[in-house]
Parts: sequence; structure tokens; C-alpha cells
Amino acid sequence: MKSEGRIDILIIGDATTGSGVSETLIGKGFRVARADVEGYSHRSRVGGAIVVQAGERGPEFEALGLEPGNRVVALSDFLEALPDIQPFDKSGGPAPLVVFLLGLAGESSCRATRDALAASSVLLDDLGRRVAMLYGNLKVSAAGLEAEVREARRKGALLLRFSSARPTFVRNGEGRPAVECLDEASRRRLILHPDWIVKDEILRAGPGDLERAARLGAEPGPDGFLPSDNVYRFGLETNRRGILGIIPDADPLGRDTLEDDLAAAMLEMRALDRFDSWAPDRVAVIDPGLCARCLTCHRSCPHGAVAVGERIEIVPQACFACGICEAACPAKAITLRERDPEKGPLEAVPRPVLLDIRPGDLVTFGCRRSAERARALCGHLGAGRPADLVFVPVDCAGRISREMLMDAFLQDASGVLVLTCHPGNCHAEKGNLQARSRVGEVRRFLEEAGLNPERVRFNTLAANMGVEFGRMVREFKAELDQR
Amino acid sequence: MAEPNVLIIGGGMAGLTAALELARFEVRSNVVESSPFAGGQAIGFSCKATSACVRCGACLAEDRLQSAVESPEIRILPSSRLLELSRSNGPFSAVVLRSPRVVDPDLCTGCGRCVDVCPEEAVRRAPSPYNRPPLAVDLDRCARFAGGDCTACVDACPESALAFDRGEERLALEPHALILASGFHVFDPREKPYGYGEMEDVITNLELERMLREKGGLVRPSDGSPPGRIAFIQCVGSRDERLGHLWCSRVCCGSAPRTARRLRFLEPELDVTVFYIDIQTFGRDFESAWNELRREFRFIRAVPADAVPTENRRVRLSYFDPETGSPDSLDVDLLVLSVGITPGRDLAGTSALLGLRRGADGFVEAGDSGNPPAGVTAPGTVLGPMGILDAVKSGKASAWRTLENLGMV
Amino acid sequence: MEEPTATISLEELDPDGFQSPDFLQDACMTCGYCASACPVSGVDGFDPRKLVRMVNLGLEREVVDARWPWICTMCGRCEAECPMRISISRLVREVRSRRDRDRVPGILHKGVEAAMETGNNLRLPKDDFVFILEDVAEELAEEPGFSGFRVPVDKEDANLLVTVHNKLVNTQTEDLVHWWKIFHAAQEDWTVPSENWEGCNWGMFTGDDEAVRRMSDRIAEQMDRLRAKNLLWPE
Repeated sequence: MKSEGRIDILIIGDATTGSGVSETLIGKGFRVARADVEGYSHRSRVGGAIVVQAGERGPEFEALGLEPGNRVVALSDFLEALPDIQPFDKSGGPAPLVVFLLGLAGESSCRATRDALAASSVLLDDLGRRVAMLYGNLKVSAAGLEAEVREARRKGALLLRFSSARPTFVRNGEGRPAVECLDEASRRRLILHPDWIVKDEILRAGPGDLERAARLGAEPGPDGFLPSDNVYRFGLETNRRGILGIIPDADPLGRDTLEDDLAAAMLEMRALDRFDSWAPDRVAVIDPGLCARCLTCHRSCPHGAVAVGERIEIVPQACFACGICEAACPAKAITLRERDPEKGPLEAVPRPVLLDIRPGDLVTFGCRRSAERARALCGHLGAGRPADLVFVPVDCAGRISREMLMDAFLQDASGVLVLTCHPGNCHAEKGNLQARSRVGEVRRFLEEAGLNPERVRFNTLAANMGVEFGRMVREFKAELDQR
Repeated sequence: MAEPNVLIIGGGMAGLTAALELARFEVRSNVVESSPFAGGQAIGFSCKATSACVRCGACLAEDRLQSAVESPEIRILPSSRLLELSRSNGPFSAVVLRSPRVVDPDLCTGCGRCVDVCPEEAVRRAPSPYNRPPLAVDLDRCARFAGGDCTACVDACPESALAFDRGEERLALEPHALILASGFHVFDPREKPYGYGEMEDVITNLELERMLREKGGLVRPSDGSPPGRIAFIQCVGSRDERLGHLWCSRVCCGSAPRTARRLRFLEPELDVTVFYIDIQTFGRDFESAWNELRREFRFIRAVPADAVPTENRRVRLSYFDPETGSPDSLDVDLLVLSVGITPGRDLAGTSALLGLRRGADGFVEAGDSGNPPAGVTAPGTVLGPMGILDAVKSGKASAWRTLENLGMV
Repeated sequence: MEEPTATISLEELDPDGFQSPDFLQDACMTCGYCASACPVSGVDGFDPRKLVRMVNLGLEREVVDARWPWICTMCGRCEAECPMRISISRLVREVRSRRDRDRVPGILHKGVEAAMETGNNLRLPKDDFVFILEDVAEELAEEPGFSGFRVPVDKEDANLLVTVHNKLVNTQTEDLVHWWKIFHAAQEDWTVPSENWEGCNWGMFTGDDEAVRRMSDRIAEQMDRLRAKNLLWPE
């Protein structure tokens, strides 16, 4: 479905890094446009989007009671000032001291360690300065960083560690702050009269990043950056297919990951190209004849795949076929459909049906990614899997509807267990939470019908929790048997 | 190029991810795995979730392995290693040596009767049900391979899946590109004065992972009792110039507190102490997580000097308390050593075979700066310590570079 | 816990004062392994990490003037596993060597002086030394299995020359017997020199390299004089 004028990738966000990213991608043959957007629709003539997030780097001086100015500066500002610092003439008395503050207010980063080390190297080698680094937790997890710290120490940089106490800052007659502190290891109280005080900066998502994420309908992680920290996003993909988030300076690995991030992003984009031209194998489809335009699907879709226009439609390219909308639709207007292997027309994917249930069976609905794998591991480990368990796998727990649960009871199941991924681990972001709500509804329904609501239960687990799978099922079964 | 195929050395997170990504582009790959079971270290790991996922990524191991095993584009070769590699014009010529396959992966159902009857305890169960085959014979332990004539496992197998007449195989392959993802070597803490290997209740963090995965809870290996107090020692074998390991292993500061939280979730009364030097950033919510963690558990900024057994069979750690400035000791029921990530034992040989340059620390030099030879990429922990999620991303990046090498993108 | 001292101005300290980069004190990451390993950490304010750090900070004068560096017994446990390979015991010796000799703690200083002048830390005359050995040997000879036991003083061409720690001929003569029983049981061909037998080289503790060398040379001389083949030098 590639056509002339089509843009492969839209670069959204940070202008500086974004232009570098654009150049890289253009160099690799992608058709790229740069824009900030009001919204994003899979129907636009755009293959995908990469959100480049610069965030905001703040020194947050006030947390240490420091006032900026008068050679109290942020690390990035100091790096800019460094070329203008003149070498110190050693005959003029003791060498002036530059103090770096790392991780004393807020946690530092490997990038800050690396920047401070690079500056120290110049200060010590070329500018005749002394260097002290006062740190809380020294961040050294980046490749090669520990060895760089060793080298800086060899050159004379003095590192002072602070576990619970913090240095204090007092102004001398010239208004220049002196640093008073207790060196932990020597238990000596020191006063430093630095020429410069350089504080590390903490990277946080800015209002622009948050707004952009909201406009795109993409879920950010706990730090406000895209993507969310759901492990199934692989640190790149968002809940909206084709929208990728990169944070060039976040150094989660403690090294420059931009190159790898872009390689992974390009891979994803090319894979989506192919996907586009194949059309997805499995999608949710709305029957316009049944649709009441209540927009429940629009609200419940975690992937932004429901387009609201003259008709309510699901954009196939955006759909992950989790089935949340199918389970949520009050009019039963939505069905999951898939192509047959010969890429024929879309056929309905049957809802899981309960055959061969005998009265008294325990029926377990479980997500394929977590519960079904845990069940397999349980058997593999010999961890006691009840033989008379009816297990019904679903692609996502979000597809489990009230009707499916009630159907089990109508067939005289003794109990129904719903096993989903842990909160925060759902591939569809909230299929598990959706399933929990359905279980809650069925519990209330059972109660109203005069039945025991404890006959339906909800648990979360992960693929590698085979022992726990066995335990959950056995415990539930034992409780049911007692009644 | 007809039917491009790629040879991937190492079936861990990075290697399997690269294979899966290539499969999305209909590129076939052979994954050469030195151990009998693919999945890397991570396939033995446990979930650290409390009431919610804590983003350890361990569940991705199951996801990668199952997807790779079921992919028609991917062939996993367990108990195999790259023997020879050459290239003239066109694809590489590779010879892969595969150890004798005692268990037929197509016939074995994993019932485990062979495990029960083996007098040498040489039949090992795979970490995951998705490993093919789910059982393997440890040739170093098997009496048959020591010249004996035992046939206990063969006789016990109801599927006739075991046989001793399948010899070593040499597979000739012609890959168009190579990916070196052979992973890391776990530091052996016997070199450290913590009584590992002498006291049963001193275990590594990897052994703790496996215990949680296979038992679903924490017990003392010595007597099977639940411990009341445990301690973690961080940086065992890392940040250590004496050992030639002047690097941080990067993953332990995330895994120890996450595991501690999981253990506390299972046993709210469990007393946990973590000995550390500097806490490294982990996770996207590190700052808030760390501020909570330091209140939940006892973090002592000291490196204990030794661990010795006490009369009542506990483990006594001696350390210098930085808060009081005096020596102290702590008796624990179980000691967990967060052991370091070091370069794979075969990495020197394999990287030389592939023409990849290694840095002073012994890891392969990262990315394009490492100037890999045409057609070769190296993702994951061959580059240095990294966690599951980073290894996965690294594997994806490697797949892209491989597709570029193949001229497919 | 040791109370912090008066505030020290870092600018006034000379970090290069020690001129001793080969101790690698600058590599210290303050991990605390050494302080955990040291058997006398915390005694009278001593801990090896403090010493390393103070030297690294340039607080050399204070360390040299302080009493606490003399707490160290030079056992070397601190550096056996130091991840940065810092030569902590050599550093302790260096610190001690920089102290004026008349300010070396009394007993050590007197012992070294006595050894330099008389060959042993106790100023024990040769005749008294031999008398003590023979006296203890007579007692041992009365024990079953040791009849006829004699101390082979100044025996020539022996396989083993054994030095004696002065405390073994002072307050702890029973320890002599332990050694001798082993030699007897092993049918060892051994000897003790009648002069310059001191096995305790206190110059090592006071950082006095000249004394260390003199005492070692004297033992070598005894080896030559008696043509002993091997040396057993228990501290």
C-alpha cells in the first residue's frame, strides 16, 4: 500500500536530536517528515511516528540549599563554559578547586558521571585545577565507566562519598559559597573553597512531553516519557502501533543507546511496512447493523484503534486483536475476525466455547501469554496440576466477557477461575483490569441470584509462575470442594 | 540472494530476539546453543511481581523461547558449537559441531521416567516446557559416555525416545550473516571469602532465581526450613580490579531489591539486609522506588569481609558499620551473593573466529564503533553486562543491522 | 564512634605530600572491605580505610602524629581481598617509618634498640638463653617418649635452623615445647643458634627498614656459620 507522497516516519518532538534522527533515517532510505502534531490517526498517509523526547534537565539547586550564579552552575552549563577557562599558573599559589556534586539531591545518572569525568580530565590535565567530586550513589553501570573513574582518581580527582549526611554551603565574604562536609571514611570535617561548584542535572519529562503523549493517546511510563515501562513494549513501542518513543539522553543502560534505539525503531517501521501490505491477520470488526454508537469500544480500546466518524470503525492497522472491545460491546456488535492461511476473507474467530464440561468441573480462563505458559510450566515441573481442570486459553484476558463466565456456571461448573497477567504486564495494557471488572460484575450477579459469589475468582500471575499456577488452582478447588 | 539465512551463536535473550525479528522478515536462522537448553540464563529466572509487575522482564524469556521454538523460520541447535568459519566469495562456510543427541526431540514427551531411573542423575529436566527436547542427558555424568553399558534410561522410556547410537554431528552451513550472542559467564564466588560451596545456605542470586521459579518460595538449602533473616551481598566479583573485573555488573542493583520485595510479599515477616557500595539506577521509576526501598529493607553501605557458620547453623557476616564506625556482625539464615557478569568463557575464541574486536575488559567492543567485519553483529551481554530488557533491545538492533548486511532493508 | 575533628581546609592539604602513588591509595572507592576484614577495626579509633583515606586526602601529618596507626598488627587481612589492590600494610609501615624514632611507642622502640645492640629484643645474654633452653629441654626429657631429649644448640650442617620468638624464652616457654615435640616426632635434624636467634623482627612494626635488614642479615649469617640447609622462621 505504499504510494507516492506517503511518509514513512513522522519525527515528533525534540528539534535538535530530532533533526539528527531524521538525517539518520533519511540516510537509510526512509521518507521522513518532521512535525509536531495535534493528533495522530492511523488513517493518515504516514507509516509511523517516532517521538523524540528531550525532556527537561534541571539542576534543582534549591534541594541542596544552593543559589545558582557566581560560579555555581549546572553541569551542562559548565561543560559549555569549560573551553573559556584559562589554564592556571601554578606559581600563583594553590590550584583552584572545582567541586562536582553528583547525586546529592535526587539520584544522579551515568551520563552525569561521564560528563563530570570528562570535564575533570580537562581540568586536571590542561587547566591546572584541582577536582573534588562529592557523590551520593556514584553511578558507574555504564560500559567502561568504572575504569574511567579509576583513571580520574589516578589523575588526582578526589571523590568524597555521602551516605546519609549531606554537605552544607556557607557564603564567604565575597559571596562565594564554601562547602562544609564530613568525609565518611576518614571521619574528618572538611571545608572546601571551590572556584566553581558544578551540580548534576536530573532529567524529567517536561510539560511538552506529557501533552504530546496525551495528544497521541500513547501511555507514558512512570517518569512521564514514552513508551510505558510495560516489558512487552520493549522500551520502544507504545500502546499505539507505529508510534515509538525514544529518550536519547535517558541512558537507561548507562551508555549512549540512541544508535541501538534507532536500529530497533527502523526495524519496527520496516516490519510495519510489510504488515501494512499484508493487512493484519486478526482484527476486531464492528457490524454497523448492530452498532448503537455508544462509543464503549472507543473508550475501552487501549490501542486507539477505534475511529469515530460517520461510522464507528476499527482501523485494522492499529488493532492488536486483544478482544477488549468485543467483550465490552453492549450490543455484541464486535467480533474478532482473522484471515484464513491463504489470506482469504476475514472469518470470525470463534469465542472460546465450553465443550465437554461436566458438572462440578473447575473452569479456568487464562491469558495465553501468562496463564497458559504457567500451566505448561506447572506440568513440566510436576508441581501438582489437578487433572479435572478445564482450561480455556484466551489471547488476552480482555476478551473474557460476562457471558463467557456465566456460560460456565450455566453448564454447572463448580467454580470459575480467571487468571491474567499481573497489573502493568498486560500486552494490551488493561485487558487484565478489564477481566477483573468482569469477574466483579459476575460476583455481584451471583450474589443477586442467591448464589455464592466465591465461586468465581480472579488471580494474576506470570508465564514463569508454574508452581504458583498449581497452588492457585489447588487452593481454589479445595475451597470449592469444602462447600 | 536466494533464501537468506543467518547463523546465530547463542540462544539467550539477545540471540532468540534477533532470530524472531529476522523471522518477521522471513529470514531463516540457525541458533547454535552451547547448552542442552536454549533460553539463556533468563529462562531459569522467576517472576518478581508483588501485587503488580515490577518490570524485571523475566517472563519475556518464556515468550521469546516459545515463539522461537514454534517459528518455522528458526531452527535451534542445542548442545552445539561453531567449529569452523571461513568466507571467500558469497556466504560464509560454517561447521557446527553438535554433541550426540541421546533424547529425540520429536519423540520425547518430557514424562521424566528417565530422570527417575538414571543412577548417575545425569538426565536433566529443561528449565522450560518449551525447550525441545524437554530433557537432556549430561554426557559428562552419563555412565555410558564414561565407557559403561548402562541402558536404564533407554529401557525406561515409553516412547523409545532415547538412544546411544546417535553420534556427534558436523553440520555444514552457509549463512549470509552471523550474530554473536553467546552471552556471559557467571562469576564463581568460590574465589570470594563468603563460604560459597562450603556452606549450603550461601547461594548466588541466580540460584535464588531458580529456587523461586522451581519451588515458588524461599527455603534454606541445608534443611528446607523457611529463613527468618536473609542478606544480599552486592558486587561479588564486580567492581574489582584484583579480579580484573573493573566494571559494574549493572543488573544486580535492580534484581536484589526486586527479589527482596517479592520475598517480603510472600513472607511479610522476612528480615532483609542488603550490603552495597553504590546503588545503580534501575527502572524508569528508580528514584521513587529507591526512596521506598531504603525504608523497606536495611541497606548497609559496607562490603562484608567474610561469612562463617555459627554453632546454630546460621551464617555470620562480619562488616564495618559505616554509621557507627565500629565492627559489627550479622547472623542470617540465608546469604545471597549477587554475582558478577563476566565475559563468556568461549568469547575469546569465538570472537576471534568471527573477527570481532574485544576491549580491555574482555567484552566485545560495542556497536559500529567496534568495527565488526561485514556480515557480523554482536548483541547482548557479549558487549558487557546488561539486563533482560536491554538484551532484547540489543537483539532487535542487531537484527536490523543484519537485515542491512543482507541488503534487505 | 570517633567524634569528628575540627574542620580542615582541603586547600591547605597537599594531596601529593606522600609522593607514594605505588600504594594505590588514590584507587580507594571506600567500599569498606578492609575495615570489615581488619581484626582490630574500631580499636582506639583505628580502621584501615580511614588510614588509606586520610593519606589520600593529604592528611599525612595527622596520621603520622596519631597513635591509632600503631594499633595495626600488620596481619595483612585488609589487603588480601582489597578489590583495588591497595597496599594497605605497606602504607601503615610507611606512616610509622615517618615518625621520629623517639616517638615510636615505647616497648616497640626499646625492643628494636635492644635487638640492634644485643641481637634480641630482651637483651638476653647468650649464657642465659642457652640455660633457659636446656632447662626446658630437661623437663621435656622427663615426659614419656622424650627421654634423652636435648636441644641441638649451634649444631653444624643441620637440615633446619630455627629462630626463636623472644616471648618463648620469656613468659611462654611452654610454646618451645610444642615445636620441639614436633621436631622430635618428625626426627628432624635441626638447630638453634646461640646468638642472634631473635625471630621477632620489630623493625617491621615500627617501619624501620634498616633494623629489618640488620636482623635478617644476622640470621643469614647464622645460616652460613652453621651451614644450615633450611630456615624455619616463625614470627
